[in-house]
Amino acid sequence: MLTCHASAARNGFRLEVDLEAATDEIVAVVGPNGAGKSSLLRILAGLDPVEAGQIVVDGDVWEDPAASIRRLPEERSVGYVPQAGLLFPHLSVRENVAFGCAEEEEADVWLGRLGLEDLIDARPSELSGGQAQLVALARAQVRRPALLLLDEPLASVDAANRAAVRRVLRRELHDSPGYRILVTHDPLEAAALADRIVVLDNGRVTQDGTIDDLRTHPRSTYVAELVGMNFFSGEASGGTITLPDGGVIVSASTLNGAALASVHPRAVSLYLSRPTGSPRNVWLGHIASIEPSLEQVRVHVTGQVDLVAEVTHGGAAAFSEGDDVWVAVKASEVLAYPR
Amino acid sequence: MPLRLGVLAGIGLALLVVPIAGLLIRVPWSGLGGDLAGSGDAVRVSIVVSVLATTVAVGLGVPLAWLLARGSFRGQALLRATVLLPIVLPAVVSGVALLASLGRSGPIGGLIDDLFGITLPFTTAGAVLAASFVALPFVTLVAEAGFRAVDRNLEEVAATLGAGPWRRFRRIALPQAVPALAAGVVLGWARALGEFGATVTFAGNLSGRTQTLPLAIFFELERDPEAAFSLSLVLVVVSLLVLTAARRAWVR
Repeated sequence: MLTCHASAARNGFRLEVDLEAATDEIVAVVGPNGAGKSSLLRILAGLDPVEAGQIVVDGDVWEDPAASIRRLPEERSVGYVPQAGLLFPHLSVRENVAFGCAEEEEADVWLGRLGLEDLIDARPSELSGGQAQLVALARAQVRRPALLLLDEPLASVDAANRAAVRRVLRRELHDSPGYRILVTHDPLEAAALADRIVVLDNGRVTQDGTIDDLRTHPRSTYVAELVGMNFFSGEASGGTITLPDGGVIVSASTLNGAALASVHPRAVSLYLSRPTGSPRNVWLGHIASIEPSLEQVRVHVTGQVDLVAEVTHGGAAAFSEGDDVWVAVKASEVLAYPR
Repeated sequence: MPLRLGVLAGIGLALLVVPIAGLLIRVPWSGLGGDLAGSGDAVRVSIVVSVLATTVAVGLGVPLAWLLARGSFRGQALLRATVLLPIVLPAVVSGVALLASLGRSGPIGGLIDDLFGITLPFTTAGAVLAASFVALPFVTLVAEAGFRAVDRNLEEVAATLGAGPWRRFRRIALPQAVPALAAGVVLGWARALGEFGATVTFAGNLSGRTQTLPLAIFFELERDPEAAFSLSLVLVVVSLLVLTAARRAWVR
C-alpha cells in the first residue's frame, strides 16, 4: 500500500492531498493547469518536502515531518519521468539509461524492450519527442523502482506518434510490478492508460474513481467538461431537480435533497417544431453557438436549462446560430445522484 | 550610422589600435629571434608561474563558484564581493596585501616561516601565489555564470536515479558547465600571464625565479628597449590567441 497524506505550500496555493494507491492499479492524476499535479509528483519523488503529513510505501516511512523523517530522492526507490523526458543532453542514449544502474548491459536490455536498440549511441538532441519520452521511461525503469511516476508522458509527443507511444507506455505500465502514478490533463490519455482517476483541483482531490464513474457521475463542472457531459447541481424533490437559476430538469429517479445530475449530449434532441411524444423535459431554447468537431457537432443551447447537444454533421445543417430550437431530453437520460 | 557617432567610434578605435601599430613598427624584426632567446628565463618563469597559478585558481575557483551559484546563505553577497575584489583592486595593492599577510613579518607568513621554514615573498612560489590571487576571481566569476546556466531539473532527475550530491556535481553539472569553465581557464590564465603589480611587489624581480615576461619587459625598457618591444609582441600575440579561444568558448 502507498499512502500519501501531504500538506505543502506551493507557489501561492496549498497542496492538501490524501492519496492511496495499490500495486494492482494504475492511477492517473487529472486536473487543470496549476492544480498541483506536478507538485504532487515532486513530493512523492522527494524533490519537494512535505510540511505536514506522511508518505508511507509498503510500510516504509518515506517522509514524516512530525518524526523528522525525510528520505532524499536518491534514497527512495522511485522512477521519475519528468515532462518532456529531460534526458541528460551531454550523454548518449545508452549512458542516459545506464546512469541509474550498476551494469550497462541492463540499459541495453531495456532499450531493446522499448524498441530503441537503433538509438543506443544517439544523442538526446537527435531524438523525437516520443523517442525521448521512451528513453526517459527506460532510464527510470532500469532501476525497477517501487514507485513509477510519469508527468504528462505524452505532452511532448507529436500527434502522429502519440498512439504508438501510448501503446508502449500502456504495456510498460501494465508490466511494472510497483505503484504507478501518472499525471495528465488529457482525459483520453487517462482513460487509455489508467484504471483509476484522481481529480485534483486547486490542490485538493475533488473526485476519485474509474473513468466510467467520472463519465456518469461527475462531481464538478471541471470533470463534466473533461468527460464532455452536461452537468447540473441543484435541489431534488421526487426526482425533479430545481437549479439555482430557477431552471427545472426532470429525472426518472425519486431522489430528494441536494443533487447532481448528468446528461449525455447525445441524449439531447433538438427539433425545429415542438416535439410530439412524451419526453418529460421539453422547452424552447436558443442556439448560442455551433461548434463542429471530428465526428459530431456540439450545439450549445440556452433556455430554461443551458446545455450542449451533440448532433451529426448532417443533422446540424438544419440549425444556425441565433435560431430558436425545441429541446427534448427523456427523464430516463437524466442521471441524478446525491451531491 | 550617424556621422558624429562614426567619428567618435573611429577615434576610439584609433586609441586602441595606434599603440599596437606603433609597437609593431618598433619591433626589431631582424633581431627578434635573438631577443627572445635572450629572454628564455623570463619565458620559462612566465609559463611555469601562469600554468601553476591557473591550476590553483581552477582548483579553488570552481568550488567557490559552485558555492556561490548553488548556495543560499547569509553573507552570500558579501562573499561574492570579496571574491571579485582583486578584479577592481590595483594590482600593487594586492601585492601589498599579500606582503602584509604572507610576508615574513606578516601574521600568517611568519607562522609558515616558523613552522615549516618556508618563505613565500621573493620566491617562485610567491609569484605563483600573486598570480593565483588575481586570476582566481576571473575563474570564479565565469564558472559561477556557467553553473547558474545548468538546468537544475536535470540534477533533480539524477537524484531520483540514485545520484548523491557529489555524483550530481561530477556527472551532470560539471560537464554542462564545460564551455564556461574553459572560458574561465583561458581568462584566468591570461590574467596570470599578464600579472605585473602584485608579482613585483610580493615576489620581486629575481631573474630566473620571479621575473616573468611583463617584469622583464618593464626592466628591459631602460636597458634594451628593442628587446622590450620584441617581448611585448609575444604577449600581444598570445593575448590575441587567448581572446579568440575564449570567445569561441563563450559563443558555443
